[in-house]
Amino acid sequence: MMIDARLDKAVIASPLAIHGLTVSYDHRPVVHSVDFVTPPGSLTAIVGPNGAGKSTLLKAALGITPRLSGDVRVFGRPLEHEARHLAYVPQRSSVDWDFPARVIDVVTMGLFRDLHWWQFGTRSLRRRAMESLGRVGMEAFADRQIGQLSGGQQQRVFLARALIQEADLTILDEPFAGVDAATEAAIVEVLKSLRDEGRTLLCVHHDLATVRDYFDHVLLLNVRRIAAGPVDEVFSERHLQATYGGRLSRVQLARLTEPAEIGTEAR
Amino acid sequence: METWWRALTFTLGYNTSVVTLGAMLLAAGAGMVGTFVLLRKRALVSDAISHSTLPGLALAFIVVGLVQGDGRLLPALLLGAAASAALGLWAVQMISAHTRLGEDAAIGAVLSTFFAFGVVLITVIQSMAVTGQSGLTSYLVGATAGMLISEAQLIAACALGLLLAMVVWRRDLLLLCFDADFARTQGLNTWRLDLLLLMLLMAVVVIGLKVTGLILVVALTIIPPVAARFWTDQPLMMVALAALLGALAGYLGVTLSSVREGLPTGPLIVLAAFLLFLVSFLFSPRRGALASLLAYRRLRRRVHLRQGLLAVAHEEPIFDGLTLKLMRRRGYLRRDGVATPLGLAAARDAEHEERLWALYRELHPDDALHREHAGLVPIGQVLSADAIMALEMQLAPTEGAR
Amino acid sequence: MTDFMTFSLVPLTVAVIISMTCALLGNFLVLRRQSLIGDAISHVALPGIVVSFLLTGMLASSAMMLGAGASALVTVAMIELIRRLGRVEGSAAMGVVFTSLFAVGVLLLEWHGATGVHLDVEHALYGNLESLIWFEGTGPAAFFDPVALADLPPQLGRAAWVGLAVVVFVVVFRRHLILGSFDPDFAASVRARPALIDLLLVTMVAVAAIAAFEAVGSIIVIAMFICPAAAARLMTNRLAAQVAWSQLFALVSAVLGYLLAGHGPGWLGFDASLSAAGMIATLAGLILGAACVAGPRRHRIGVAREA
Repeated sequence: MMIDARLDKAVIASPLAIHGLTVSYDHRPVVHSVDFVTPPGSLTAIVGPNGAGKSTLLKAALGITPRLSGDVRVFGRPLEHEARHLAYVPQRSSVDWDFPARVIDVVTMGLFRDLHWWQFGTRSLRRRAMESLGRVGMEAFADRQIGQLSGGQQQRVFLARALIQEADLTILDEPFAGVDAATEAAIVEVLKSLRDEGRTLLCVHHDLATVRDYFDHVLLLNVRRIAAGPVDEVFSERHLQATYGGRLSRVQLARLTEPAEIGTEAR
Repeated sequence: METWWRALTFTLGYNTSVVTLGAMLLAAGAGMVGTFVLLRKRALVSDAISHSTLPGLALAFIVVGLVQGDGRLLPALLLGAAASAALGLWAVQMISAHTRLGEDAAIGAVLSTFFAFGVVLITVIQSMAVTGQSGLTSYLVGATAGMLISEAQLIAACALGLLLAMVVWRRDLLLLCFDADFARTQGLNTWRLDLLLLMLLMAVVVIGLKVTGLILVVALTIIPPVAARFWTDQPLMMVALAALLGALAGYLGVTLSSVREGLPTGPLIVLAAFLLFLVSFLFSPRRGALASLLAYRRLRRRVHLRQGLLAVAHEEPIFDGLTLKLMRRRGYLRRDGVATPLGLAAARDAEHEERLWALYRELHPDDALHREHAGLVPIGQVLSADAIMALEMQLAPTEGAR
Repeated sequence: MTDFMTFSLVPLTVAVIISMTCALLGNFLVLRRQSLIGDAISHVALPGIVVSFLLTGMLASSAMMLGAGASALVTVAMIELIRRLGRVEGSAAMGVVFTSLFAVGVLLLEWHGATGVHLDVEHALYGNLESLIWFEGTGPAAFFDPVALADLPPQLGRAAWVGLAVVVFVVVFRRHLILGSFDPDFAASVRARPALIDLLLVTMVAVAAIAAFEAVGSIIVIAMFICPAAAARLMTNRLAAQVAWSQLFALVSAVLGYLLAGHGPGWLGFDASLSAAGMIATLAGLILGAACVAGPRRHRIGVAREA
């Protein structure tokens, strides 16, 4: 498919460009006319209060949830033809961990597109899965039942499944929800190393205190796009106040928007 | 047609009238219990209960048959049915509470296994020298035609008792359905209340066996409450409406079945209930399908038009096919995609309004969040003229500065 | 021996095929926590068959399968419409749809009952495995006699075809099925078409339910879908092993149930036989009961899905 000549250069370079995306629930927009061009090679956080439509935005962008209006492009081409460039890590709590599967089975699910129905498990398949598990420090658990894992370990398995897809853009929905500190650090390290390889990451994030440390770009969302850009420019008191609608106290705000020392000291 | 009219006006004889009343009371009771069960999100538990009555029915039939030669004795059959339904219910609870299987698997497994065992027992009966065997099949799909007057009276009396019981316990049951945890902090024994609800459900199902048959009685506990949900958000109102709709379905179903010989009552009651549901589903102005669809299309049209107009205002290209179509239909765009004077004016208005909304959101973030409007409604419909004027005044200097 | 070939060989074979086919599909219903879709679809088999009979005037395999497929799709479409547009909880929507369609089936059946149709409500509910008699099957030679083979009850061929189709479906789409059962959102993100696979699974369930309809009736088949698969889930934490267990349970309950129904009363000294379909399902339920009490993996380990 040819790239539309009228498109902006930034859109063509971006692994995920969203234009005018609206999703409605109950006859009410939960995501409204959002434009966002993911900067290539960035580690971007999507930040906003509960019910701001962060997960919905991602699901609609990926074509999982139907959208009311809007246009989603991957390197300038319609998403429908280019979905292989994207990897998605859903919220950990969205699946049934009592499912009869081992860790390695879940990781190889990431290779869904590469496998035909007549192919069964091969040695090279297992090797690739073990490599991904190695990057998140989970090789030792390959043959473990997924129900026996802790929350942090489950999240690492999900990340390994995305790694094996070797996608240009990885989209993560709250990867730090309910995980231990060690896992959080490990995941951040993997995300940063992926960015350093030139890949792009887009991540729904809840903890305002760590935005400055973990991410280089941020999208502030509350149904609408409030602001987006490099963290240093966008993560300001005015924008946060607009995002959270006066629900953050002065002290909180001052802490978050001051230069990073206070943030690191707090941990 | 004439017979139906006479049935509708209760002038088709004493028997038919009692049967009609009994079915109406029963369906009203089923609608009420069903509402609580639906709100407790366990609608299909009644499916397990009704199917698992079969082995109890058959066993009771065998025992009574061995004693008196004819197995048909309604009270004994109902007792047997209740006993095996209780066993089935217990099995569902045990499986879903103590194993990894979900309630869905528990319900499906219990209803089919119990039913299958009932079928085995029925083949036992067929090999016995007991009369009244054909009476047993009437419990499968229901038959009110051959109903004895004493049977009809028993059903009506039980149904009335159930109705009263539910009126007495309505508040406790509602609390249980809404917020079991809160109910527990209020000193209510939720475990006992759940049991009470299930017992009431079981009683309705067992009494309903003879009227609609064991496969269709489920419908009476599900369809009227679901239909009632379309008309009200108020729980007690919903209980009352479900009872009313159930009674109406019972009335229509039984009278229709008296029109022609051999028309089965159960299916007719269920179809009458479905008809009431269908009307509610399609035409309820609050949650009905047509209203929803229209609201969805209106919202979609608004969003696309607004996005199209803003694109014109910012001189951006429009890619979306639906947006282009709507803009052209309104006369905002020419065939070749260039904006018309009308379109340009509308675009300026849209952009201005967008700015007003943005300013409003910035000045009153809390307020804007509470109203949850997306800024798609013309601002004049939401804010007072004074408020808009104030916004305009604030906007004016920035406009000038551009 | 001759008696066995004439009266028991075909019913037993049909019972085994149906039982194993249903159990295979049942594994995915249980894993998706959608067992009740099996319940709904098998109830709806009745109106599907009745309508296709009324339209075509005969009980031909092709018409029945079409009727079954159509009724399953109508059911799913209605459930989804009511759930989405009416915002009704899924299981309640299911209850509304399948009871109403079943009522339509019963009504049509009774309405046209007088016209001498080879269908009646009791058959539809109990099934009639015992009627599958192979009159020409008088000895081993019949296996090689084209005339005798042509006399085989058509239900046997139908069950065999459906069984084959289900096996092919599960083998070809196994990754889609597993992915869609475990993580539908991820499945959608890699374009595994979870919604389409859902629909295909439901259609296969409907086809299997129809193949089973004449032999075991529309309710007992639910036990064949759910019980072996549910029992197998309690035996192991590996999917492949679970499928194997479910097939074993299905086989055991079919063979044992059939023999027990035919010969059980005789061993006790009564001259009667019991419903084979009922007995098979009862045994499947007993196996599940045993697994619930003693299955090595009966307890939940993971965190259950929210919502």
